[in-house]
Order: sequence, then C-alpha cells, then structure tokens
Amino acid sequence: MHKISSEKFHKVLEQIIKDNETYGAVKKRDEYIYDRLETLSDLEIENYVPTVLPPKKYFYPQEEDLVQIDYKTKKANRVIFKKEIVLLGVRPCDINAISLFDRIMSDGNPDPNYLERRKHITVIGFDCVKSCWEHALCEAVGTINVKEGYDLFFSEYKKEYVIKTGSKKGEELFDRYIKNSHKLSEKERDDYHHERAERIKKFNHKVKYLFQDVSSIFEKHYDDPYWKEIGKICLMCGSCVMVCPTCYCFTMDEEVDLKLQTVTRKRKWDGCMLRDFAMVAGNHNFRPTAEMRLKHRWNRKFNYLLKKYHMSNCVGCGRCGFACLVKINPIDILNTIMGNYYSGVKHESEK
Amino acid sequence: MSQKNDKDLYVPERARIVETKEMTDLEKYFRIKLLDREALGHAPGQFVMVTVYGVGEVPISVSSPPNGRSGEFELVVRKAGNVTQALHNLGTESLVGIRGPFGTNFTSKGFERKDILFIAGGIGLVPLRSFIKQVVNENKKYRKITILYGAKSPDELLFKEEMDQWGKKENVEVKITVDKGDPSWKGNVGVITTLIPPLEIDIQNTLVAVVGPPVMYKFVILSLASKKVANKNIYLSLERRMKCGVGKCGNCQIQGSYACQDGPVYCFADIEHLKEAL
Repeated sequence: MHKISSEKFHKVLEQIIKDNETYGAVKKRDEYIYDRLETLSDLEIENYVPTVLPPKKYFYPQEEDLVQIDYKTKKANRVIFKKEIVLLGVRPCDINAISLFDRIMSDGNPDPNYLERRKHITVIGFDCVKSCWEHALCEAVGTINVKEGYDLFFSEYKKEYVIKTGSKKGEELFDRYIKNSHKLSEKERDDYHHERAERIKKFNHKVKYLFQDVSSIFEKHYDDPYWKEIGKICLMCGSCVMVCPTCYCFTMDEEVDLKLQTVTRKRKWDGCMLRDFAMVAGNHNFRPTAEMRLKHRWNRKFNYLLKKYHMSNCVGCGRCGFACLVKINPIDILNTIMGNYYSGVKHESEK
Repeated sequence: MSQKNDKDLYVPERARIVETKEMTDLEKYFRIKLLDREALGHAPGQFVMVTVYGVGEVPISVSSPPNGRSGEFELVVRKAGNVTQALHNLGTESLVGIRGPFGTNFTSKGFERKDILFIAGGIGLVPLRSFIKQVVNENKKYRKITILYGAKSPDELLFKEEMDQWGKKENVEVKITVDKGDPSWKGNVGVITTLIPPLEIDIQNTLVAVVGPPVMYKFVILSLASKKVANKNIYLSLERRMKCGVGKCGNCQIQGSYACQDGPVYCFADIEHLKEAL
C-alpha cells in the first residue's frame, strides 16, 4: 500500500486523461452522467452522487453487436470489440457490480463478447468518504469495500491518497504513472484502516436488520404481503432495471443492412419488469402482474443470485429508488419484509 | 456436446432444410441437415435455437430421436410469432441457423424391463416424440409402453399414421382423445386427464413423461397423484421464453432455476416446491 499527495494525485489523473480515452462522472444540468473526460476539471471528485446510468454502459452497452452474418452465404462470425478505454473514478458500489458481472459472465458458458470487451477496459476506482445520497444502502449490503473488479483504487486519507492495485494491469499503471510514492508503514496502515472504518460509521444506516439473513428470509417470506402492496402502485416501466448496475438480462434482435449484405445479431438490454419478458407463444405470460415481477426481480438480487454468487446482487447504489416514479426502493423492501419476518406477520400462504 | 466452440456462443451454424411438410393449418414439419458438422448429437427433450436469417431466433424442441439419419434432425414448428411465421415461409434448400442442442433430456435409464407412460397434450407431442420414438424403436427392452395423446380437435392431431404404427407393436398401447369431436371422429372425447383414471399403473415400476401446455400440467399431476405415482418418477418439460439458450439472458428463469440449463426437462420431485414452475 502506497500513498501520494493530493497535488500528485491530481497530476496523475491529469496524465491518465491525457494519455487514454477516459470516461468519468461529469455534471450535466442537475445530475451526473458517465461521459468522455477531456481534462481533469470535467471530472466530479468531491461532490459525487451516483450517475444516471452506471458505468455498465461501457462494458455492457444498451445495444451491442454480437454476430455478423453474410446474408448471401450465411457465414457467421463473432464480432470482436477491442477499444481500449479507461473508466476513472468508479465508486465502490459500481466496482462491486463490475466484479459481479465478471463472475456471472465467466460462469457456466462464458460470454465471449463480454469477456473480450472487458479485457480492454481499465477500471480506476475512487473510495467514498461520505454517503453520497439518501438512497444509498451500500453499508447494509456490504459494498463499501472492494476486493475485485478494479485495476487501481484511490482512497482519501488525511488529505492524501492511498493507492491499492487490484490486478496486473493495475500494477503496470502504478509503475507507469506513480513514481516516488510513499510506502505506508505498518502503523500508518493500521491508522488508515481505523480512520476508514470510523468514516464508514457515519454512512447511511437505513436498513434496520442484519443483511446476512436476507436470502433465507426472502425465501421464507416469498408471499409476503408487501409484494402485493407495491405491486398495486408499480407502473412496470422498467426504470429500476435500466439504471441498475447489476441487471444483465437481455434480448437479441437481428438487423439487416439496406443493401441486404449483412445481418447483425444485436444484444439489447431487457428487463423482467417489462411486459414481454416472460411471455411465450400464444401470449401466455408466466409473470403477468407487477407483484410477480417485483418479487422475481428482488429475489434475484437478494436470494437466487446472492446464493449462487455469494454476494448481494444489489450493490446499494440507490439508483432504482431514485429513478422509480412511485418511490419503490430496496431500503423499504428490506425493512418491510425483514421487519414482517421478525415481527411474525403472516404471509399469504400461511394464512 | 452443446457447441462446437465456446468462442462462438451466440454464432449460429448453417443448416439446410431438406424436406418440409404442412401438417395442420398451424404446424409445419422440417427435416434439417447441418452443413458443417456431422450430427446434431442431441438427446430426447433437448432443444435448438433456430435462426431465420435477418428475422430472429427461437427455441424449438427437436422432434426426432437421437441417431436419426446421419446429420439430420426433425422439427415441427407452430406458426405463432414473427420468426415462426418466417420459418413457415421457407422451403426445401433454404438455409437456417442452428445453435445447440441445449438443455436437459428425458432418459429411460433405470426403467429397462419396466413400464413407460407418455402423456402429450397438443404440440407437446412434438418434443415428446423424440423420446417416444427412442423407446418404441427398442420396445422389447421395456415391459409396457403407454402413450396418451390429447388435442383440441381431430384436425389438430399430429403424426396420426406414426401413432397407428406404434400402437401395432405388441407391448405398446396408444390412446387418443380430443376435447371436441367432429362428425367423422369415432374415438374418445374429453380432456387428456380423462384417459388417466382407467389406467392400471404399476407405480413402483413406471416412468411417466409429460409434455403439454402450462395449464395441462396441473391437472395431469393431480390425476397422477390420485393414482399415487411418486413425484420422482414423473418427468416433464417446461416451456419458457428463451433468447440465449445458454443460461445468460434471464428470460427463462423460474426462481433460481434456468429452464434452458436446468431444464427444460425436470423431474417433478425437484420442482414441486418451486413456485411459478407450474
């Protein structure tokens, strides 16, 4: 673990932006979006709040070419995407989401298109020193700390910056950009960890129950009355899905160019809150109601996929709660369902 | 043997339609041969993703048994959406794309010299036919083979001639019913569950394979339960929307289970407590 001065920190970032096609959080009207950085002053460091869309859009874009097919011969080839880019200032919640994506996309049948694109993306993270907004629940779901999913990570410490490397690529970046850093002594390391733990204590603590029991509670309270309650107000618009850093469900479409030479198979974001998602031939819909869809979506985050990948599939950024037109949000969902469980409120099938 | 190469997860292989047949107003039969690979290498109950180039891709169950004519396999497709409509417009010599085979399969392993009961509703016969043919072709290996098949009306019945052939074998019994008859229909009338109560089922020694529309399962399961058939001996194939076929897109998810990977063929004992499954 090394540290550099604040002045050096800014110089390093400046150089990274100069040398690379770099993207980071940029203010746009009243909100923040991930966008191309031309200079360091474009980047929001101090007053960061979650961007409208997470950085997912760079490694898992809304629309992506997967396969190209020659329309005459029908010979098909995978589209190989290799543009080198740097994501600068990615926060712990989004880094955890990237780490989750990496696990999911390498699991079972590895997704070659994703993994190829991902190889060319460098992730440089910034630690959070305070709660970014009232929608966040990173503290509850355990995503303030980062283990994987980043190359370099900067954490503020007594007006200086502690640097962690998370990959071989990160070590190379460190060697290239950060010369003359100060190696932390054991005492300084302990002090840094202590100070960081202290500042985390001041983060939002809005989830009232221990998160570690969530999947078994969601399973036991599968028919909790709260699903029906929020099912009544949910508009099934899919906003929560579209802003989520961990939602990865997709559909595939084929497009033919006007000269009838090439068919392109595209991957496009899809979502379990939307009408067609579970619909089959003959218009039979396996999840016709908002209640069923909400239950499915949140059980994926806190139950099915949590069990499969051993980490919360909600990374606590709070974007969905902010985007939701009727204010359905994970903090209320966790508090209500876990609260109902602990206070013994009967769920549907028990009545 | 699902894909020729992991690197080509979403890339369809070329295949040629070598024969087609109109079966009913809605269903069309296709015999298909892969261009660049010997055999599909599927097992009964598995499915393939079929691409109509420039239109899209749909999951379709393979209807022929394994080890069919070298490199060829059969599909029967109901016209239901854009892609299946476009597929119906294709004729012999047209090229389609194929990915797969994918998913779990039916197996008669452990039921040699025992009984097998097939229950097919509507186009559920199409995927089940792969398994039926595998078993009926080797009928001497089994004790009693019973095939129950129900359709809405006589003109929606599929593979009638094949059914007659199967029924001629000494240990094979075929029973057909239609929900609503017509003046020429002399067979059973009534839903498929009406065929179950009269059966004599040796519950210890019978494998039951069921494929049909979602609504059919609930009632068939109830009928089998009243016969005391153990859930572990009942296998069924669940239909879901599928986009990728490889456990990624999420469309086919039933709670934590992916119908394209953990299914489509499930043992009922494994899913009886899985809400949303049936």
